Amino acid sequence: MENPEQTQEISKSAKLETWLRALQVAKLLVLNPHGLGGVILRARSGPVRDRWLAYLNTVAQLGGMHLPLRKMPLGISDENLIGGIDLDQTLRSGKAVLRQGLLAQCDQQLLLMPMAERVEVGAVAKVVSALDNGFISIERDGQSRRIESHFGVVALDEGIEDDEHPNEKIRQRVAFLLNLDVIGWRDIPESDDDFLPDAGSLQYARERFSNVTVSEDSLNALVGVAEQLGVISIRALNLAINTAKCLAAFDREDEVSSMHLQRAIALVLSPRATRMPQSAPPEEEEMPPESDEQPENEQDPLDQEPPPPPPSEDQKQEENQEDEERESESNTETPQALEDEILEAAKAAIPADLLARLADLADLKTPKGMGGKTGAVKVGRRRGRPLGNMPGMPEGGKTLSIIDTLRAAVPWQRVRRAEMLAAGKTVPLGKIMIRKEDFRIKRYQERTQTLTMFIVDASGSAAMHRLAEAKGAVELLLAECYIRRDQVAVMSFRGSVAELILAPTRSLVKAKRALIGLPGGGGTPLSRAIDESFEVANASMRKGLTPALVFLTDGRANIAKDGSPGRPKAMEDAQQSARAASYYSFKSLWIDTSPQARDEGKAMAALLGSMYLPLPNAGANEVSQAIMQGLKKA
Amino acid sequence: MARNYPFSAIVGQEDMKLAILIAALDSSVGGVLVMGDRGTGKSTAVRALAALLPEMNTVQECIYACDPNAPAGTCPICDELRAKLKIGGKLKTNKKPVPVVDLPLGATEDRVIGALDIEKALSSGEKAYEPGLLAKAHRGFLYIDEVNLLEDHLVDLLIDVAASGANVVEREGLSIRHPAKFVLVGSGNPEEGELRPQLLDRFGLAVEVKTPQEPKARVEIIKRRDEFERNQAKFMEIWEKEDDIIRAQIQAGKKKLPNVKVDDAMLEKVTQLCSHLGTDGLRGELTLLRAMRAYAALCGKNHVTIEHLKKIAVPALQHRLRRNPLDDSSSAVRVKRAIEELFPETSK
Repeated sequence: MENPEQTQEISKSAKLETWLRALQVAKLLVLNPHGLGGVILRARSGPVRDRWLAYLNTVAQLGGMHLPLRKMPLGISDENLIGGIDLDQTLRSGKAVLRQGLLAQCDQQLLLMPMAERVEVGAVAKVVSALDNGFISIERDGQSRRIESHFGVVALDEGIEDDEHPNEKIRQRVAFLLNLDVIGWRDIPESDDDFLPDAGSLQYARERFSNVTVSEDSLNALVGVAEQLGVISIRALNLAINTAKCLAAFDREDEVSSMHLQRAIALVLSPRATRMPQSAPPEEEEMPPESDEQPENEQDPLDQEPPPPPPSEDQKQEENQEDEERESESNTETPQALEDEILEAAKAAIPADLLARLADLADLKTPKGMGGKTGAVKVGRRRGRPLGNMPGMPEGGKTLSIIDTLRAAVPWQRVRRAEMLAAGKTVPLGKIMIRKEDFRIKRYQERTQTLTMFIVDASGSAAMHRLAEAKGAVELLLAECYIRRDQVAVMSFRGSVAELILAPTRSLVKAKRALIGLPGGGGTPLSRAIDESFEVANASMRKGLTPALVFLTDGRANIAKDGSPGRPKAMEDAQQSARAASYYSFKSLWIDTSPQARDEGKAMAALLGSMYLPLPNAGANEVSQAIMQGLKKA
Repeated sequence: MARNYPFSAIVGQEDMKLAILIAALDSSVGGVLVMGDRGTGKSTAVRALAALLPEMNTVQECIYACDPNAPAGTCPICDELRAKLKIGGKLKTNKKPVPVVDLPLGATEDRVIGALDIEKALSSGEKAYEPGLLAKAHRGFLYIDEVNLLEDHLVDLLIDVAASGANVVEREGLSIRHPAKFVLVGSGNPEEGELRPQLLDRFGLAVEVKTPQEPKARVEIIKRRDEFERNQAKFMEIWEKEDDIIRAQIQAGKKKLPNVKVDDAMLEKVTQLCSHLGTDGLRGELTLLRAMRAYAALCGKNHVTIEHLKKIAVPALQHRLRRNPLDDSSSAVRVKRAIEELFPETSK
């Protein structure tokens, strides 16, 4: 997971290089905010981030943006984001007046999204839909409009944990992913003034970038390199092309050269790498042998032998002659050689922290089918935050939203007055007439969401007889949780580790996938499972969820906390963990899956304060029934 | 305004394209749900659909653009117009493009179902109904991107209207019921939450899309995108011809559709397959039948064959299967397996 010591080892020059790359990104964003989508800046609030934002601001002003960074507050309402009716102006003028939302105001500028990792998925979806379309479609408050807006996003990712990331939707649509957390303020130059572009070249580049051409060889090389890096998304390829074009425009060139392509790939694709490129033609999902490579030396991957070019490649040399345009030093290369050269550069540009993670990935036997980014997708967190209003009566515990009800009633006063007069009724002066259809109730974002976490014993003893039932039961429960709009998480423990194989999610698809890949066998590290599951549960509580834990195990621990085998020590550790965990007093359920009910399990459940359910010889249905009943009672 | 990327220029994604064409050919098949990887051209394909649709015949003065042949009693405006006609008179008609309406996230209920015209209410105190998106989509398509993120109360509303084909608005003493028959098209990413089963059932066909892995296809995709962005006019000129061919194919299919025959043996097979899969209710069967006919018509055939069934069974049925917790394989695989088990003799 976190590898602080490895982060420390990034050399000074590599840090400077990262910084210069960040400055380059700022320039590109000012040049073509919409075409490049934007940037995700992983950096905690601090001098380095401030410096980058200040630089971006300066470049933006040089480039003629007036209010370059419009801030999108966390928890912004739809009305402020998309727009709606301007009630004040509308009443005053007697005409429907549209109020533009933030997205429309950002046209040709940059939308600054602080704490991007916490933005709710609904808001993210609206931002990315505007990014995709180039316009905002307003269908609100009787207004139906389409407003053009071409903006880019600067998402500030302040996530600390590995699994805290901005929503994948944004990640997909921004060209650049920068990590400034690896740089300290001492690592960057005293001033960035030397790196400021002049207004003239910005202007020139802006006029030209859309006319820059890309050769077919370059496209082939790009696709080849993307494959080597394990970058699947087509959007990333398009963004790389757009980046290369902008780079070429900065250099006042009309065609993307291999150098531009190389730099674009380093900026756009390298940070998205999901595997280490290989020298030999890849066997599916194979990891490179030098997985223990130390990331402190970024040049290391370059030392890998370049692939011996297949003999036939030499004959292809002539084909490339038509490549007549102004070229960089690599002009006589074959497409394959072009790809190789770019690949080397791309490898060198893989951020050091990612490199370390990729090396870790190599140790995994089965890379999950999620592009190696398990847990990177953060689906909107459910918290008790007001989420606007909807029409409805304030009954059944629903809260009336007075302001919104009044707002809804106001425009219709004149009609109602006329109606009352026509009906011969007296109209009270100075009173506002509110009718049933005006009532608005407050909506909260599912404040009572539960996280049901399954801790599944996948050890040898359990795997033999119960793993299949446990999996089946979990799936049945998942469906149930989905109906209740709960989140689920799955942790499995076996061998010497407890592993969160499914971070809290509402997606059945992900959950099923996680379960399918669940292997069985090995020891029973119960102590670790208890410790780690309660840690996850505790974290989820801080995020506004109500955790409930379901243990499916025979309770026969045989791996101690420190990973050493031996039943007595292991049991002792497990009991200690259980005692510690009981302080949280989370709702929990202990399903004893051993063929005969055992005292160990019962004792453990008592220590944890969980409800104990012995389930000898139960099938998936029985297990899930029991859990549902148990959780209701517990 | 930038133009839509042409349908014919979309590389690969044959399943998705076929489902959309079938829905375009015969709206009674029901909508299309496209779920899958990000950036696979889901929205692009739906938006491109508008250009493929032949124009429709409408009642000129009806704001809902009703079909002149629609039975009386479905549309208040047409009924009124008919009442004014002299005996033997005919409603004035004209041609209009088939609407493809976007339902954006963040839309409010009043815009979806329609409400009083706020401006008229303010300026003259007049009560005039302003139709919403459902009215706009009548006889056409209603597209919801990120359909799984749509707010619950809007989903309820859609489920209701999609089933009844009529939209009822009660507001300010105004009581309006107008026709709203539309083909629902949704797209989304399944990892961000699944759809309610009731809404799922409203979609006739469901397809899953994946990012193309094949390098040649990937190069072609980005190459075309680049050409489209750089020289739109030229790009459109080239591909509009291809689009014309597809449009003609749809039109020919529409004509052929009433004559496509499904023999009893084929009907038997449909029933057999559906009962084998335990697909809920009659909806699956009906959809499969209609989709088969539409597919045969699209291919220019007069008879539905087993090959048509095989091709269309997965999109017509895969979203209707009950979850089987002990079977890890995807719904699509289960449908395919059932086909192989039931009709092995005819498979090539």
